[in-house]
Amino acid sequence: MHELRHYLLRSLTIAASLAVSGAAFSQGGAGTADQIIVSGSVFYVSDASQRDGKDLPGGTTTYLSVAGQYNVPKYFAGIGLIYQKNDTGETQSETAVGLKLELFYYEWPFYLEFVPFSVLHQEFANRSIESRDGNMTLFGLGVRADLFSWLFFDGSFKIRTSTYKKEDGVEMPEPIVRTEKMPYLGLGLKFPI
Amino acid sequence: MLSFSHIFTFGFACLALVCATACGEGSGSSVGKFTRDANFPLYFSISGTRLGDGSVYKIAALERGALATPELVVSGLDFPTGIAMDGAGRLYIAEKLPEPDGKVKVVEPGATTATVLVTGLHNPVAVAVDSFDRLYVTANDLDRILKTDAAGDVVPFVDTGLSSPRDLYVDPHDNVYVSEVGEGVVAKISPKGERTVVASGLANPFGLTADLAGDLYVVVNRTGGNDGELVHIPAAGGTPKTLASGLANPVAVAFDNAHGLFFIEGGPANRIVNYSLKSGELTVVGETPANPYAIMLTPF
Repeated sequence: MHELRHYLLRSLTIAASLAVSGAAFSQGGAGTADQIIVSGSVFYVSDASQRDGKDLPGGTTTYLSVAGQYNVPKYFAGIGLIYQKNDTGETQSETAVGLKLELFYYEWPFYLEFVPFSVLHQEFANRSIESRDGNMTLFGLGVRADLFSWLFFDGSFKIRTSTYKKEDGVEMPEPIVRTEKMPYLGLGLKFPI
Repeated sequence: MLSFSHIFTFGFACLALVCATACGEGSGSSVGKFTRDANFPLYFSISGTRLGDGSVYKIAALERGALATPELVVSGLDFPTGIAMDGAGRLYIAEKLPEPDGKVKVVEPGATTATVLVTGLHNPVAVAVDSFDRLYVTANDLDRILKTDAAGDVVPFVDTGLSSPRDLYVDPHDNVYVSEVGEGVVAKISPKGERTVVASGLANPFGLTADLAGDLYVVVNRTGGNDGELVHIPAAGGTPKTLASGLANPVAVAFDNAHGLFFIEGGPANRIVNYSLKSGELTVVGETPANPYAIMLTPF
């Protein structure tokens, strides 16, 4: 079942990226003017399962990501800040803040992103630990497709690696390293300068 | 103006969003539920009677109503009592001997030898692991529960209020449940260490486990003869209910997602019995060497 979910997830991600890319290609790239871009995404996953008529411990997960950046086409680069917050159930939340660096070619809709997150903080309520701290890096390959002149669809595939070094402020003997591969689907606003 | 490519892009994006949401993964150590059909392999400990005489065995599966042949995991143990496994597959074994100091040993995944992790535990009889792989162990002579901290050091968790803790169960929210033989109760201990009695009037509550909904199951040993009971404690509260009685010296119990409960009947029976939570049927599914003590199904 787990393998099937992975397969479905990857297939859909690739399919979505290709479809969006194809549509985006028909609309050209970002243009040559400098731009301020604000983009974001919210995913909400609700889990309510039963077995033999009994509710199972599930919960909800919300993934929020907001980024603001300044793109300079003549240097094929952009720079900005990104904020991510994931809430899992009622007991766990994770906050990350990082510097977003982007490479792109102004005639194409594709971009490469790299984000070193200097802040990665997990908080737990009513659990055996209260917090974890560390850092995170994120790599992404994405496309932006214009929906209107000021609104665009943002789709990407991201790989992020989180390294937790402290629990409750105490250095752990072995850091916890977690790698996640995920699709990203969002919307953005652009403001040519 | 909206063009065909606009509509195509937006439509597919919405479809992908819905599908990706439905197939999305949780994040790391989130509180979740077990999704496997069965939690095998099953592990059990054989205490033996003296130093170096104990062992832990593994059973791969339940096939056609009978457990597969036990495989030896590790031997040469000093009266092993409780067993537990963390998310990385490390097997923790509490050892009662030599008295008064007991210890916890760990068997790394794939290893066939156990190495000492913690010593000086004053008669440990139960170990458990929480959602952060923190280890909990009882120190029965002191009526305490200890736990490991972020640095891996052992620190006190519950210092007072316990009376002869016998078994531990940790739920997905890191609440620790403990069966206490001295007072005949099952108590819930919050992550902050606050103790609340959830069931009382149990004559020698030994093994303790829970199902996916959080309902607790306890084997009540009573006199050590053929008068043991399997008791259900609803998660939502309410009166404990006896599911089965006339059990032969029941000492430990574990929950399996597919088959219900497995419990150990100690000497002279020395066997593993399955209790179906659907039908209420009791079935002897295998035998153990003499002096079985603890039973565990892999928690992931």
